[in-house]
Amino acid sequence: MRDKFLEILTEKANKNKNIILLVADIGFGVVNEFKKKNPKQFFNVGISEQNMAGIAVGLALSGKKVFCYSIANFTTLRSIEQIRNGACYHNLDIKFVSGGSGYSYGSLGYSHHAIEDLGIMRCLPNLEIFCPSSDHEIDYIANYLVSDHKTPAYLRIDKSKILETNLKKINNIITPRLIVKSNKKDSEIIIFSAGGIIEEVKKAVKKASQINCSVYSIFNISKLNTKFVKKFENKKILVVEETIKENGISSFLRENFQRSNITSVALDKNTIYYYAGSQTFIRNKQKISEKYILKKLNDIKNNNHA
Amino acid sequence: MIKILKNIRIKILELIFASKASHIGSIFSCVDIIYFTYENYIYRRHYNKFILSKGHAGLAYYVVLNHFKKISNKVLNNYYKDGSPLIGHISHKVNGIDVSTGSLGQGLSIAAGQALQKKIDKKKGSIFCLMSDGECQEGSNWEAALFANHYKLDNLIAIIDYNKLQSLTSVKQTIDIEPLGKKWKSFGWNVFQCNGHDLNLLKKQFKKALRSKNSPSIIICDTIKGRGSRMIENKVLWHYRCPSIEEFKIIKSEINSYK
Repeated sequence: MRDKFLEILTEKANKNKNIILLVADIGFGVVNEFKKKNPKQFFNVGISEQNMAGIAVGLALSGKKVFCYSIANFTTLRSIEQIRNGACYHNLDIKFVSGGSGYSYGSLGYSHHAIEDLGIMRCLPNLEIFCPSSDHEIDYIANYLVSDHKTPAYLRIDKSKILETNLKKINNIITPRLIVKSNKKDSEIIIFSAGGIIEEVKKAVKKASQINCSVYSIFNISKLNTKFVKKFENKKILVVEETIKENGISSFLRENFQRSNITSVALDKNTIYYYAGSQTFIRNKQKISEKYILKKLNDIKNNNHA
Repeated sequence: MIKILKNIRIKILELIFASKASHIGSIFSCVDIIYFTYENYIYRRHYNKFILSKGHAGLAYYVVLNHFKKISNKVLNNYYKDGSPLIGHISHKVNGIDVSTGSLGQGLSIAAGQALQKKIDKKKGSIFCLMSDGECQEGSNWEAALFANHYKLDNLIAIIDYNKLQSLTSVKQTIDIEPLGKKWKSFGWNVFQCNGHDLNLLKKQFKKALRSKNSPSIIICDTIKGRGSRMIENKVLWHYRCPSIEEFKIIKSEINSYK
């Protein structure tokens, strides 16, 4: 997804000279094309994410559209106050782009596990948050951010993604996208998820053939279509997220679906994973993998989820 | 002290007294620099930009803007009061102000970004960024210092209000920043230093800084915290203290008779 995003940004920046890409010494091999094609629009600020967020403010105040790119926790947590007091307070056209959300960098350890960033960024004013799960979604979101969108945003890019053979359409930027519908009947359970973890959801749903459910990719974690909300109000909802429970996607949905029964598969903030492991391995250790999703689906089906 | 700067100080004193605000020491320390920079480089020179990184001295900038008719008396007199856009730390919601600050150590990066934009677009003009001495303890400034030198931002001029006091005690006793000039020099900056209350000396150093090429400049201004009233000068107490009615009268009379 990261490569797809940079490919779109490179092409758009070639036409729009106001687009600036700042990187904090990240992206070896993947930012070269942008740099080659748009040398005057690319700046490596070095290992200084707080400075990057400040430089972006100075540039955006003068009409630039700025993309700040680094690894998830460094783009966000390291410079959170600069983002709050700069981009958000001044409501500027700055997009924070992070690579490696969730357990993307599994074996690199806790410093690189981006599991609190979503909840923390969700508190900031004027900031919209996007978590795509496929190249199709990143294409749509990147084009949206590059053209129409003029205010702060956080684009959270996972290393993993879902591969889609039977591509479902994106209706608009505020409506979650249907990924899977188990059959034509009314779904008993509506599953919402975002980012690469949807691959675990898909596997679980496939195994839960006895349960009618629909899976939606909720790639926009800041605005939700009210008509869409009405359609699913009073339904049983399961949220699967590769972030801590606090202020994540479940919280976002609870704020919107006030009458629904929402349960979640998410991370416990006090359960730090101290060991090495691939993203898939750690998801399983941290109880957010296919088998835990499946168990939760059965619990909901049997009304044991209170 | 020239009459204008005495009047500006008295207005500041009256507003702090009326609204029970604080930071009079920090404000009196840098108001001469702000007045000088605004009058010579910002007023009617829209291609230049000014960032007050020590946002707690926002009142100094508001009163200077009022002096140059950018803020009305009515707006100014509501400073710090319920619903006023003139908040304690400088606000971009006020006419004539681009950048809000208040959390120290963030203005210089923004100024560097503005300076970079001018370089990218080949636009004329300079960016002035006024910082406090204690603010140099924030690590983020040194990220910006490295960046500005690396990208040869010679259109960026930082100014340090070097009054040598911070909120609890002297800078030296808190976390020493000396040798300050050598530090900035070693980061590749042109370093200038002068008395920050002498407008003629300020003019000379600003001219030198504006003529400098290939690297950013910093002007270290030696100042006196609370300058303008002997009672509050160089006293750490007046970082936060709001004057009582008796103190208000003494400060006002001391400003009026200040040489």
